Amino acid sequence: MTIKWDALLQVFGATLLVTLLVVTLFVLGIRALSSDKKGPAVASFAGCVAVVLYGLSLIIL
Amino acid sequence: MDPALVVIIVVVTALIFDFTNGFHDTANAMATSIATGALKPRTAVALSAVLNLVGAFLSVEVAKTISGGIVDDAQITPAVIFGGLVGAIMWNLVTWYVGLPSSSSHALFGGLIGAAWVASGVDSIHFAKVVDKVLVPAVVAPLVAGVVAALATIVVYRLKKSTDPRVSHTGFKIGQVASASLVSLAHGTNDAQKTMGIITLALITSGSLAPGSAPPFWVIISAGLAIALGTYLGGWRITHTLGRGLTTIEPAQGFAAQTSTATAILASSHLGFALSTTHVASGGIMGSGLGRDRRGVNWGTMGKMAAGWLFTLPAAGIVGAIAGKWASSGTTGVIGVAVIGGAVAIGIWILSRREPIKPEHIVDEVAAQAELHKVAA
Repeated sequence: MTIKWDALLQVFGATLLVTLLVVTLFVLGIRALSSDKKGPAVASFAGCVAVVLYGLSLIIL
Repeated sequence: MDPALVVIIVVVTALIFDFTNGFHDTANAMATSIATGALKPRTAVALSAVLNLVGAFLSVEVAKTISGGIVDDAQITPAVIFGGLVGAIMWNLVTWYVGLPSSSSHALFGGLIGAAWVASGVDSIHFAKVVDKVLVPAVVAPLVAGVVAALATIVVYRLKKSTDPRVSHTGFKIGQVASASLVSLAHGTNDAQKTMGIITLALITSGSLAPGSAPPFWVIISAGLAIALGTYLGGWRITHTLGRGLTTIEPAQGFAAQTSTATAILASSHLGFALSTTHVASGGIMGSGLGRDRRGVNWGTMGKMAAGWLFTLPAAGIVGAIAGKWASSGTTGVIGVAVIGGAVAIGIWILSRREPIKPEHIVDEVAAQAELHKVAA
Protein backbone atom coordinates (compact mmCIF):
# COMPACT_ATOMS: atom_id res chain seq x y z
CA MET A 1 0.00 0.00 0.00
CA THR A 2 1.45 3.32 -1.02
CA ILE A 3 0.08 6.58 0.22
CA LYS A 4 1.27 9.48 -1.86
CA TRP A 5 2.34 11.76 0.96
CA ASP A 6 4.14 14.08 -1.44
CA ALA A 7 0.87 14.73 -3.29
CA LEU A 8 -0.93 15.47 -0.02
CA LEU A 9 1.92 17.74 1.01
CA GLN A 10 1.53 19.56 -2.32
CA VAL A 11 -2.16 20.11 -1.60
CA PHE A 12 -1.30 21.53 1.82
CA GLY A 13 1.52 23.74 0.53
CA ALA A 14 -0.51 25.06 -2.39
CA THR A 15 -3.56 25.73 -0.25
CA LEU A 16 -1.51 27.54 2.39
CA LEU A 17 0.46 29.74 0.00
CA VAL A 18 -2.39 30.62 -2.35
CA THR A 19 -4.92 31.31 0.40
CA LEU A 20 -2.58 33.52 2.42
CA LEU A 21 -1.53 35.37 -0.72
CA VAL A 22 -5.10 36.05 -1.87
CA VAL A 23 -6.34 36.98 1.58
CA THR A 24 -3.40 39.30 2.30
CA LEU A 25 -3.69 41.08 -1.06
CA PHE A 26 -7.43 41.52 -0.53
CA VAL A 27 -7.06 43.02 2.96
CA LEU A 28 -4.28 45.32 1.76
CA GLY A 29 -6.68 46.44 -0.98
CA ILE A 30 -9.35 47.23 1.59
CA ARG A 31 -6.82 49.10 3.75
CA ALA A 32 -5.75 51.19 0.79
CA LEU A 33 -9.36 51.83 -0.10
CA SER A 34 -10.30 53.01 3.38
CA SER A 35 -7.45 55.54 3.39
CA ASP A 36 -8.44 56.72 -0.10
CA LYS A 37 -5.39 55.41 -1.96
CA LYS A 38 -7.02 54.38 -5.22
CA GLY A 39 -3.87 53.20 -7.04
CA PRO A 40 -2.58 50.71 -4.46
CA ALA A 41 -6.15 49.45 -3.92
CA VAL A 42 -6.64 48.66 -7.59
CA ALA A 43 -3.19 47.02 -7.73
CA SER A 44 -4.02 44.76 -4.76
CA PHE A 45 -7.40 43.65 -6.09
CA ALA A 46 -5.91 43.05 -9.54
CA GLY A 47 -3.24 40.90 -7.86
CA CYS A 48 -6.01 38.84 -6.25
CA VAL A 49 -7.76 38.28 -9.55
CA ALA A 50 -4.47 37.37 -11.23
CA VAL A 51 -3.67 34.70 -8.61
CA VAL A 52 -7.14 33.16 -8.95
CA LEU A 53 -7.00 33.14 -12.75
CA TYR A 54 -3.52 31.63 -12.70
CA GLY A 55 -4.75 28.87 -10.38
CA LEU A 56 -7.70 28.08 -12.61
CA SER A 57 -5.52 28.08 -15.72
CA LEU A 58 -3.32 25.41 -14.09
CA ILE A 59 -6.38 23.17 -13.78
CA ILE A 60 -7.91 23.80 -17.17
CA LEU A 61 -4.78 23.72 -19.34
CA MET B 1 -33.36 -8.25 -17.90
CA ASP B 2 -31.85 -6.70 -21.01
CA PRO B 3 -28.35 -5.46 -20.08
CA ALA B 4 -28.92 -2.21 -22.00
CA LEU B 5 -32.00 -1.52 -19.88
CA VAL B 6 -29.99 -2.05 -16.67
CA VAL B 7 -27.40 0.46 -17.91
CA ILE B 8 -30.17 2.99 -18.58
CA ILE B 9 -31.54 2.44 -15.06
CA VAL B 10 -28.04 2.97 -13.62
CA VAL B 11 -27.58 6.20 -15.59
CA VAL B 12 -30.94 7.55 -14.39
CA THR B 13 -30.22 6.52 -10.78
CA ALA B 14 -26.77 8.10 -10.96
CA LEU B 15 -28.30 11.37 -12.14
CA ILE B 16 -30.82 11.21 -9.27
CA PHE B 17 -27.89 10.74 -6.90
CA ASP B 18 -26.17 13.73 -8.52
CA PHE B 19 -29.30 15.79 -7.98
CA THR B 20 -29.44 14.88 -4.25
CA ASN B 21 -25.71 15.66 -4.12
CA GLY B 22 -26.46 19.15 -5.44
CA PHE B 23 -29.16 20.05 -2.98
CA HIS B 24 -27.30 18.40 -0.12
CA ASP B 25 -24.24 20.52 -0.81
CA THR B 26 -25.75 23.92 -1.67
CA ALA B 27 -24.94 24.82 1.91
CA ASN B 28 -21.19 24.22 1.59
CA ALA B 29 -20.64 27.11 -0.73
CA MET B 30 -23.44 29.43 0.16
CA ALA B 31 -24.19 28.95 3.88
CA THR B 32 -21.77 31.61 5.09
CA SER B 33 -22.79 34.19 2.45
CA ILE B 34 -26.46 33.72 3.26
CA ALA B 35 -25.76 33.82 6.99
CA THR B 36 -23.94 37.15 6.81
CA GLY B 37 -26.53 38.61 4.44
CA ALA B 38 -23.99 39.13 1.63
CA LEU B 39 -26.31 37.33 -0.79
CA LYS B 40 -30.05 36.77 -0.84
CA PRO B 41 -30.84 33.04 -0.60
CA ARG B 42 -32.38 32.75 -4.09
CA THR B 43 -29.54 34.67 -5.75
CA ALA B 44 -27.01 32.57 -3.88
CA VAL B 45 -28.39 29.25 -5.11
CA ALA B 46 -28.80 30.45 -8.71
CA LEU B 47 -25.19 31.66 -8.79
CA SER B 48 -23.98 28.44 -7.20
CA ALA B 49 -25.93 26.30 -9.70
CA VAL B 50 -24.38 28.02 -12.73
CA LEU B 51 -20.86 27.76 -11.30
CA ASN B 52 -21.31 24.07 -10.48
CA LEU B 53 -22.20 23.48 -14.10
CA VAL B 54 -19.10 25.37 -15.26
CA GLY B 55 -16.95 23.50 -12.75
CA ALA B 56 -18.13 20.17 -14.13
CA PHE B 57 -16.33 20.97 -17.37
CA LEU B 58 -13.00 22.04 -15.84
CA SER B 59 -11.48 18.68 -14.95
CA VAL B 60 -12.05 14.93 -15.24
CA GLU B 61 -9.33 13.74 -12.82
CA VAL B 62 -11.75 12.74 -10.07
CA ALA B 63 -14.07 10.96 -12.53
CA LYS B 64 -11.08 8.91 -13.66
CA THR B 65 -10.26 7.98 -10.06
CA ILE B 66 -13.75 6.53 -9.69
CA SER B 67 -14.19 4.87 -13.06
CA GLY B 68 -10.68 3.48 -13.16
CA GLY B 69 -9.52 2.09 -9.88
CA ILE B 70 -11.66 1.90 -6.76
CA VAL B 71 -13.43 -1.29 -7.85
CA ASP B 72 -12.39 -3.89 -10.42
CA ASP B 73 -14.47 -3.17 -13.51
CA ALA B 74 -13.99 -6.73 -14.78
CA GLN B 75 -15.72 -8.22 -11.72
CA ILE B 76 -18.77 -6.06 -11.15
CA THR B 77 -21.95 -5.56 -13.17
CA PRO B 78 -24.20 -2.52 -13.73
CA ALA B 79 -26.72 -4.09 -11.30
CA VAL B 80 -24.12 -3.91 -8.50
CA ILE B 81 -23.51 -0.23 -9.27
CA PHE B 82 -27.27 0.32 -9.16
CA GLY B 83 -27.41 -1.21 -5.65
CA GLY B 84 -24.54 1.01 -4.51
CA LEU B 85 -26.27 4.12 -5.84
CA VAL B 86 -29.50 3.27 -4.04
CA GLY B 87 -27.53 2.95 -0.79
CA ALA B 88 -25.94 6.36 -1.37
CA ILE B 89 -29.22 8.09 -2.22
CA MET B 90 -30.94 6.66 0.88
CA TRP B 91 -28.19 7.94 3.17
CA ASN B 92 -28.20 11.35 1.47
CA LEU B 93 -31.95 11.73 1.95
CA VAL B 94 -31.89 10.67 5.62
CA THR B 95 -29.04 13.06 6.48
CA TRP B 96 -30.72 15.84 4.50
CA TYR B 97 -33.93 15.28 6.47
CA VAL B 98 -32.17 15.67 9.82
CA GLY B 99 -30.07 18.58 8.50
CA LEU B 100 -26.71 16.85 8.85
CA PRO B 101 -24.01 18.12 6.46
CA SER B 102 -22.63 14.63 5.79
CA SER B 103 -20.56 13.79 2.76
CA SER B 104 -22.38 12.80 -0.44
CA SER B 105 -19.07 11.47 -1.70
CA HIS B 106 -18.61 9.10 1.21
CA ALA B 107 -22.20 7.94 0.81
CA LEU B 108 -21.38 7.13 -2.81
CA PHE B 109 -18.14 5.30 -2.00
CA GLY B 110 -19.76 3.47 0.91
CA GLY B 111 -22.67 2.32 -1.25
CA LEU B 112 -20.42 1.25 -4.11
CA ILE B 113 -17.92 -0.58 -1.91
CA GLY B 114 -20.69 -2.32 0.09
CA ALA B 115 -22.49 -3.48 -3.04
CA ALA B 116 -19.31 -4.70 -4.76
CA TRP B 117 -18.08 -6.47 -1.63
CA VAL B 118 -21.25 -8.50 -1.08
CA ALA B 119 -22.28 -9.10 -4.68
CA SER B 120 -18.90 -9.66 -6.33
CA GLY B 121 -16.59 -10.61 -3.45
CA VAL B 122 -13.93 -8.77 -1.52
CA ASP B 123 -11.39 -9.15 -4.36
CA SER B 124 -13.43 -6.79 -6.52
CA ILE B 125 -12.39 -3.84 -4.35
CA HIS B 126 -8.98 -2.22 -4.71
CA PHE B 127 -8.43 -1.32 -1.07
CA ALA B 128 -5.00 0.24 -1.65
CA LYS B 129 -6.56 2.73 -4.06
CA VAL B 130 -9.47 3.38 -1.69
CA VAL B 131 -7.03 4.27 1.10
CA ASP B 132 -4.76 6.39 -1.08
CA LYS B 133 -7.37 8.33 -3.06
CA VAL B 134 -10.35 8.39 -0.67
CA LEU B 135 -9.72 7.60 3.00
CA VAL B 136 -6.48 9.51 3.58
CA PRO B 137 -7.67 12.64 1.74
CA ALA B 138 -10.93 12.37 3.73
CA VAL B 139 -8.99 12.94 6.95
CA VAL B 140 -6.28 15.25 5.64
CA ALA B 141 -8.30 17.67 3.50
CA PRO B 142 -10.60 19.10 6.23
CA LEU B 143 -7.55 19.51 8.50
CA VAL B 144 -5.67 21.35 5.74
CA ALA B 145 -8.65 23.62 5.08
CA GLY B 146 -9.14 24.18 8.82
CA VAL B 147 -5.51 25.04 9.61
CA VAL B 148 -5.18 27.33 6.59
CA ALA B 149 -8.53 29.01 7.33
CA ALA B 150 -7.45 29.68 10.92
CA LEU B 151 -4.19 31.31 9.76
CA ALA B 152 -5.98 33.28 7.04
CA THR B 153 -8.55 34.55 9.54
CA ILE B 154 -5.80 35.69 11.93
CA VAL B 155 -4.06 37.55 9.06
CA VAL B 156 -7.31 39.17 7.94
CA TYR B 157 -8.29 40.37 11.41
CA ARG B 158 -4.75 41.70 12.13
CA LEU B 159 -4.57 43.67 8.92
CA LYS B 160 -8.10 45.04 8.89
CA LYS B 161 -7.85 46.63 12.36
CA SER B 162 -7.03 50.14 11.24
CA THR B 163 -9.53 50.24 8.37
CA ASP B 164 -12.72 52.24 8.08
CA PRO B 165 -15.42 49.80 9.31
CA ARG B 166 -17.93 50.80 6.64
CA VAL B 167 -15.43 50.28 3.81
CA SER B 168 -14.21 46.97 5.18
CA HIS B 169 -17.70 45.64 5.88
CA THR B 170 -18.83 46.25 2.29
CA GLY B 171 -15.47 45.11 0.94
CA PHE B 172 -15.55 41.79 2.75
CA LYS B 173 -19.12 41.13 1.70
CA ILE B 174 -17.97 41.41 -1.91
CA GLY B 175 -14.93 39.26 -1.14
CA GLN B 176 -17.22 36.72 0.43
CA VAL B 177 -19.42 36.48 -2.65
CA ALA B 178 -16.32 36.05 -4.84
CA SER B 179 -14.89 33.33 -2.62
CA ALA B 180 -18.27 31.55 -2.32
CA SER B 181 -18.40 31.50 -6.11
CA LEU B 182 -15.01 29.83 -6.18
CA VAL B 183 -16.22 27.20 -3.72
CA SER B 184 -19.17 26.44 -6.04
CA LEU B 185 -16.84 26.16 -8.99
CA ALA B 186 -14.55 23.87 -7.00
CA HIS B 187 -17.56 21.81 -5.98
CA GLY B 188 -18.36 21.20 -9.65
CA THR B 189 -14.79 20.04 -10.29
CA ASN B 190 -15.00 17.47 -7.50
CA ASP B 191 -18.60 16.37 -6.92
CA ALA B 192 -20.07 16.46 -10.43
CA GLN B 193 -17.07 14.30 -11.36
CA LYS B 194 -18.17 11.54 -9.04
CA THR B 195 -21.41 10.93 -10.92
CA MET B 196 -19.54 11.10 -14.22
CA GLY B 197 -17.16 8.49 -12.87
CA ILE B 198 -20.01 6.20 -11.81
CA ILE B 199 -21.81 6.44 -15.16
CA THR B 200 -18.54 5.85 -16.99
CA LEU B 201 -17.90 2.84 -14.75
CA ALA B 202 -21.35 1.43 -15.59
CA LEU B 203 -20.65 1.89 -19.31
CA ILE B 204 -17.29 0.14 -18.93
CA THR B 205 -18.74 -2.82 -16.98
CA SER B 206 -21.46 -3.29 -19.60
CA GLY B 207 -18.88 -3.27 -22.38
CA SER B 208 -20.06 -0.03 -24.03
CA LEU B 209 -16.75 1.71 -23.27
CA ALA B 210 -13.18 0.44 -23.16
CA PRO B 211 -11.62 0.13 -19.67
CA GLY B 212 -9.72 3.30 -18.75
CA SER B 213 -11.89 5.57 -20.91
CA ALA B 214 -12.56 9.18 -19.93
CA PRO B 215 -16.23 10.19 -19.53
CA PRO B 216 -18.00 10.87 -22.87
CA PHE B 217 -19.35 14.38 -23.49
CA TRP B 218 -23.04 13.53 -22.91
CA VAL B 219 -22.09 12.13 -19.50
CA ILE B 220 -20.24 15.33 -18.55
CA ILE B 221 -23.09 17.61 -19.56
CA SER B 222 -25.88 15.53 -18.00
CA ALA B 223 -23.98 15.16 -14.70
CA GLY B 224 -23.26 18.91 -14.70
CA LEU B 225 -26.92 19.74 -15.30
CA ALA B 226 -28.23 17.32 -12.65
CA ILE B 227 -25.97 18.76 -9.94
CA ALA B 228 -26.79 22.33 -11.01
CA LEU B 229 -30.53 21.64 -10.80
CA GLY B 230 -30.16 20.04 -7.37
CA THR B 231 -28.11 23.01 -6.19
CA TYR B 232 -30.68 25.48 -7.46
CA LEU B 233 -33.52 23.77 -5.62
CA GLY B 234 -31.37 24.13 -2.56
CA GLY B 235 -30.85 22.30 0.72
CA TRP B 236 -32.12 24.84 3.19
CA ARG B 237 -32.14 22.31 6.00
CA ILE B 238 -28.37 21.95 5.89
CA THR B 239 -27.64 25.62 5.26
CA HIS B 240 -29.42 26.10 8.58
CA THR B 241 -26.87 23.91 10.46
CA LEU B 242 -23.76 25.07 8.65
CA GLY B 243 -24.49 28.79 8.48
CA ARG B 244 -25.44 29.26 12.12
CA GLY B 245 -24.78 26.13 14.12
CA LEU B 246 -21.00 25.88 14.11
CA THR B 247 -19.88 29.38 14.98
CA THR B 248 -21.14 32.89 14.34
CA ILE B 249 -19.77 34.21 11.10
CA GLU B 250 -18.71 37.69 10.01
CA PRO B 251 -18.10 38.58 6.35
CA ALA B 252 -14.32 38.83 6.81
CA GLN B 253 -14.27 35.43 8.42
CA GLY B 254 -16.51 33.84 5.78
CA PHE B 255 -14.14 35.24 3.16
CA ALA B 256 -11.11 33.65 4.82
CA ALA B 257 -12.91 30.31 5.35
CA GLN B 258 -14.13 30.07 1.79
CA THR B 259 -10.87 31.09 0.16
CA SER B 260 -9.10 28.24 1.94
CA THR B 261 -11.95 25.80 1.20
CA ALA B 262 -11.98 26.60 -2.52
CA THR B 263 -8.20 26.37 -2.81
CA ALA B 264 -8.02 23.06 -0.94
CA ILE B 265 -10.74 21.50 -3.12
CA LEU B 266 -9.31 22.79 -6.39
CA ALA B 267 -5.81 21.59 -5.55
CA SER B 268 -7.16 18.16 -4.60
CA SER B 269 -9.38 17.85 -7.68
CA HIS B 270 -6.38 18.58 -9.83
CA LEU B 271 -4.51 15.63 -8.31
CA GLY B 272 -7.53 13.31 -8.59
CA PHE B 273 -8.30 13.11 -4.85
CA ALA B 274 -12.02 12.39 -4.52
CA LEU B 275 -12.49 14.23 -1.27
CA SER B 276 -15.61 15.30 0.51
CA THR B 277 -16.35 18.91 -0.30
CA THR B 278 -18.68 18.94 2.71
CA HIS B 279 -15.91 18.01 5.13
CA VAL B 280 -13.54 20.54 3.65
CA ALA B 281 -16.11 23.34 3.90
CA SER B 282 -16.90 22.40 7.51
CA GLY B 283 -13.18 22.27 8.29
CA GLY B 284 -12.77 25.75 6.81
CA ILE B 285 -15.64 27.21 8.81
CA MET B 286 -14.37 25.63 12.04
CA GLY B 287 -10.82 26.81 11.42
CA SER B 288 -11.87 30.38 10.79
CA GLY B 289 -14.03 30.27 13.94
CA LEU B 290 -10.95 29.23 15.93
CA GLY B 291 -8.85 31.89 14.24
CA ARG B 292 -11.25 34.67 15.21
CA ASP B 293 -12.22 33.65 18.71
CA ARG B 294 -11.50 30.33 20.37
CA ARG B 295 -14.57 30.49 22.59
CA GLY B 296 -16.91 31.07 19.66
CA VAL B 297 -16.95 27.52 18.32
CA ASN B 298 -19.87 25.22 19.06
CA TRP B 299 -18.08 21.95 19.82
CA GLY B 300 -21.38 20.14 20.47
CA THR B 301 -22.61 20.66 16.91
CA MET B 302 -19.13 19.85 15.60
CA GLY B 303 -19.11 16.57 17.55
CA LYS B 304 -22.50 15.57 16.18
CA MET B 305 -21.32 16.32 12.64
CA ALA B 306 -18.11 14.32 13.06
CA ALA B 307 -20.09 11.33 14.38
CA GLY B 308 -22.33 11.56 11.32
CA TRP B 309 -19.23 11.57 9.12
CA LEU B 310 -17.90 8.36 10.69
CA PHE B 311 -21.24 6.64 10.12
CA THR B 312 -21.60 7.66 6.49
CA LEU B 313 -19.32 5.10 4.83
CA PRO B 314 -20.57 2.03 6.77
CA ALA B 315 -24.25 3.06 6.79
CA ALA B 316 -24.40 3.67 3.05
CA GLY B 317 -22.26 0.54 2.66
CA ILE B 318 -24.78 -1.69 4.42
CA VAL B 319 -27.75 -0.37 2.41
CA GLY B 320 -25.64 -0.62 -0.76
CA ALA B 321 -24.65 -4.20 0.08
CA ILE B 322 -28.25 -5.35 0.55
CA ALA B 323 -29.48 -3.48 -2.52
CA GLY B 324 -26.54 -4.64 -4.65
CA LYS B 325 -26.95 -8.30 -3.68
CA TRP B 326 -30.66 -8.22 -4.45
CA ALA B 327 -30.36 -6.22 -7.68
CA SER B 328 -27.69 -8.54 -9.07
CA SER B 329 -29.98 -11.57 -8.56
CA GLY B 330 -32.03 -10.71 -11.64
CA THR B 331 -34.93 -8.67 -12.97
CA THR B 332 -37.15 -9.03 -9.88
CA GLY B 333 -34.25 -7.84 -7.74
CA VAL B 334 -33.67 -4.68 -9.78
CA ILE B 335 -37.39 -3.85 -9.77
CA GLY B 336 -37.70 -4.64 -6.05
CA VAL B 337 -34.78 -2.34 -5.13
CA ALA B 338 -36.17 0.43 -7.34
CA VAL B 339 -39.66 0.19 -5.81
CA ILE B 340 -38.47 0.10 -2.18
CA GLY B 341 -35.92 2.88 -2.79
CA GLY B 342 -38.58 5.03 -4.43
CA ALA B 343 -41.03 4.41 -1.58
CA VAL B 344 -38.47 5.40 1.08
CA ALA B 345 -37.56 8.54 -0.89
CA ILE B 346 -41.21 9.59 -1.17
CA GLY B 347 -41.75 8.84 2.53
CA ILE B 348 -38.86 11.11 3.56
CA TRP B 349 -40.08 13.83 1.23
CA ILE B 350 -43.58 13.71 2.78
CA LEU B 351 -42.04 13.84 6.29
CA SER B 352 -39.97 16.86 5.30
CA ARG B 353 -43.11 18.70 4.10
CA ARG B 354 -44.58 18.53 7.58
CA GLU B 355 -42.00 20.95 8.94
CA PRO B 356 -40.35 22.59 5.96
CA ILE B 357 -37.29 24.82 6.33
CA LYS B 358 -37.45 27.58 3.75
CA PRO B 359 -35.00 30.32 2.77
CA GLU B 360 -37.19 32.85 4.58
CA HIS B 361 -36.41 31.12 7.91
CA ILE B 362 -32.71 31.61 7.43
CA VAL B 363 -33.16 35.27 6.55
CA ASP B 364 -35.28 35.76 9.69
CA GLU B 365 -32.58 34.18 11.83
CA VAL B 366 -29.91 36.42 10.37
CA ALA B 367 -32.05 39.46 11.11
CA ALA B 368 -32.65 38.28 14.69
CA GLN B 369 -28.91 37.77 15.18
CA ALA B 370 -28.18 41.28 13.88
CA GLU B 371 -30.69 42.70 16.39
CA LEU B 372 -28.87 40.91 19.23
CA HIS B 373 -25.57 42.44 18.16
CA LYS B 374 -27.12 45.91 18.14
CA VAL B 375 -28.43 45.43 21.67
CA ALA B 376 -25.03 44.17 22.83
CA ALA B 377 -23.23 47.10 21.24
